[in-house]
Amino acid sequence: MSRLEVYSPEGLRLDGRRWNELRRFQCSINTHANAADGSSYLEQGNNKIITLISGPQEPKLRSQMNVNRATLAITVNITKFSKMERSKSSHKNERRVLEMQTSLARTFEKNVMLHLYPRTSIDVQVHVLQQDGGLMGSLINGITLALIDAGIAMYDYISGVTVGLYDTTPLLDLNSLEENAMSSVTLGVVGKSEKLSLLLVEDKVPLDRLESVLAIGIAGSHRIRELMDEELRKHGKKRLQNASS
Amino acid sequence: MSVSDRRRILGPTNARPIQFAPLNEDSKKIDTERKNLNKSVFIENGLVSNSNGSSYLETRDSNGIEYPTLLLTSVYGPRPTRGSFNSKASLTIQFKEVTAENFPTGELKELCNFLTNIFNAVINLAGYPKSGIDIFLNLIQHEGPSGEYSREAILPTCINGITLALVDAGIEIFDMVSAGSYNGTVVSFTKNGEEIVGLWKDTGDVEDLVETIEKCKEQYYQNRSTMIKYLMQNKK
Amino acid sequence: MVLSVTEKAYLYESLSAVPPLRPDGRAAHQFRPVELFTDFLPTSNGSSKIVASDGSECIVSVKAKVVDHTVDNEFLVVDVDIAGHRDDSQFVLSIGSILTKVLTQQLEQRGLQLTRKYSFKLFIDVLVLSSYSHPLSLISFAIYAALNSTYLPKLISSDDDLDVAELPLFHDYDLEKLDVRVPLLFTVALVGNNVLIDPASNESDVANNGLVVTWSNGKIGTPIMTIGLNDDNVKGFGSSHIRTTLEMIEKCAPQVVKALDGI
Repeated sequence: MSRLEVYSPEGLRLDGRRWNELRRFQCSINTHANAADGSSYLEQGNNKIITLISGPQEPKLRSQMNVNRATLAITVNITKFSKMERSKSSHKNERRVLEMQTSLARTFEKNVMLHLYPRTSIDVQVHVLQQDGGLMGSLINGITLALIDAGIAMYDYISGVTVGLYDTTPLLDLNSLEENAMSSVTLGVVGKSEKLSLLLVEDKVPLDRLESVLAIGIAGSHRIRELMDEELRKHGKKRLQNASS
Repeated sequence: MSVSDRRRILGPTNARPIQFAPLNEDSKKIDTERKNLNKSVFIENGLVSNSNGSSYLETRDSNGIEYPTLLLTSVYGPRPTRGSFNSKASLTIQFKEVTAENFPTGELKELCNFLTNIFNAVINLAGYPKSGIDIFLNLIQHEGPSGEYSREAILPTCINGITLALVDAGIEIFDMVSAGSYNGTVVSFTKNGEEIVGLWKDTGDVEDLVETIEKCKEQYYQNRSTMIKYLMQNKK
Repeated sequence: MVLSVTEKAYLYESLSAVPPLRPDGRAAHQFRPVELFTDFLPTSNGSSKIVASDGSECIVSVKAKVVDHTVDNEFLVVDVDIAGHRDDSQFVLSIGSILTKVLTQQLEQRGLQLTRKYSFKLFIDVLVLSSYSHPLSLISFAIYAALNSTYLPKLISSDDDLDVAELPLFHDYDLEKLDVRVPLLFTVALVGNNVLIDPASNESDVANNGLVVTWSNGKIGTPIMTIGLNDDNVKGFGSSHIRTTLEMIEKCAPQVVKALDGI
């Protein structure tokens, strides 16, 4: 285990946060207006993520066409330079990445009104420029923002966050140092509700502690939803002003 | 490649591959003498029977110093392509080193890209809608100057080889295309040297580019007349 | 956008007119505006992002690693990733090969040498998020900006370690700017008798041929080569085209260098 003090007796974490505090969260949408139909740029702590969406559009292959609803394809591109140490191999066909793609697609398939866009495909490309733990949660937030920018009908926001369990204390929004030191759970929360569209548990978590972990996770996700909503409304207002002036 | 070899013990990290001392002067002399005996360019068409057209070339470097290049080119097509409609044929060129792998993959792909661009300009692609033409180059042997493997040295041979193979396959081309190389530059011409279809300069000075092009043109004339002579002699 | 045969013919005629009429109103020697950002990735030693006006975007990261150059004498690795193209496609590999070649030719390993045994090895990762015309020139601008904003850790241990086995030691926070002269690559389209710099995607579609020209150390360098901008309009060109191209690059390149250095 790490020799660093992950959670000090005073209740401070490695980067100075308290147990229930999020990392710096900054986002913007419509960043690549010319390159894609919907785009977002997200910084969550040291995670930097660009999301590009093209679609709904005619599928490239006939076989990808579904007569009843749109096909949602998500590609996650984790760049070689995204971590401190450059990775030698490209992450494109890694099993971990493929699994991430499938679970992201499943998370969003339930939330996007795919039946409104039959015979089309919606392609989501996520480029991870930098990563520092809690990647899955950040990916969810980035995709939500880009989908909204693309004007694709959704039932509600999905906001994601990672929560760890250190001894008996749940810690919100882990960075990579913390993520390596403890077991963690990733949540995708639908809007302001307590419904989960993703619950990813890859480590052992004691069942009697899970409730407190989920509680702080849902609270954190709601906060992220608020932050995204704020930014979107600000952006909308600006667009409206530009259009009317 | 990206997969590291874990099956063998690779030795210490600072291990270096063995290197052989250069050949001594005597053995070199015999070598050149032997090579001087067959100085001519050897051309043979139609060796690959299952292809639509093929050519086999044995050339020496045009500077007059001996490095025999052995190249087998085969052309497949025009054959129908599946899927969407194309009003013009699509051309692919693939290059393979048969005996030894001296060039990195990226460099070979660059070479193929370059050759494809040349022959896109030369083949009458509009005459073959809904079809594909595939050209395969097999480099059997190439001995570069002072043991180095330069793409400049094999490029003219590749271009000549493809031209001959296309003629053998009976695929329409606008003109015989050929190339000359001088000073690390390869220039490919058509239409009696009036038009350039490919320019490749990897190293050297740019100052004398016009002069270099002229030198290449001379070789182009020579190469073209050799090819035409061969084709006229062997016409069916 | 796919152009129809008639549209292509119209565009070709206007581009080969004298003077050329380009759809976006540019002159033959004029570039499209680009936006350039540097130093936005704190985990890389140098980074840059370039966005062209048509939405083409390219991100470059430069990372350095200390290696024993007596064992590993490759001092530069260029890795190209273009969204929408396979990593092993001819297009991606040949762009990677051109960039590797031109950068290893022009950059000097001496500038990266730390001690008599160890030196820095640079990893240049190129990510093209979207591209509509041939991305080579855009990538080279991004690499130029990234390498010129690269800072490497400062060596504080002795630089003679041939006799004593010693690992290089670096200053805790002091960085030194990487001093390199980075070559630039320019693409031009040849249409009719005209030479057009920085062709847009619709111009590339009708071009007769393309040329790549390298600019290094204040003069035209190598490689210079023809490059396919499309598959179905390729034609030959005269040597006068080459002369015009070289003259044009000689005129434009110093201005581009000045603009890139101004960041």
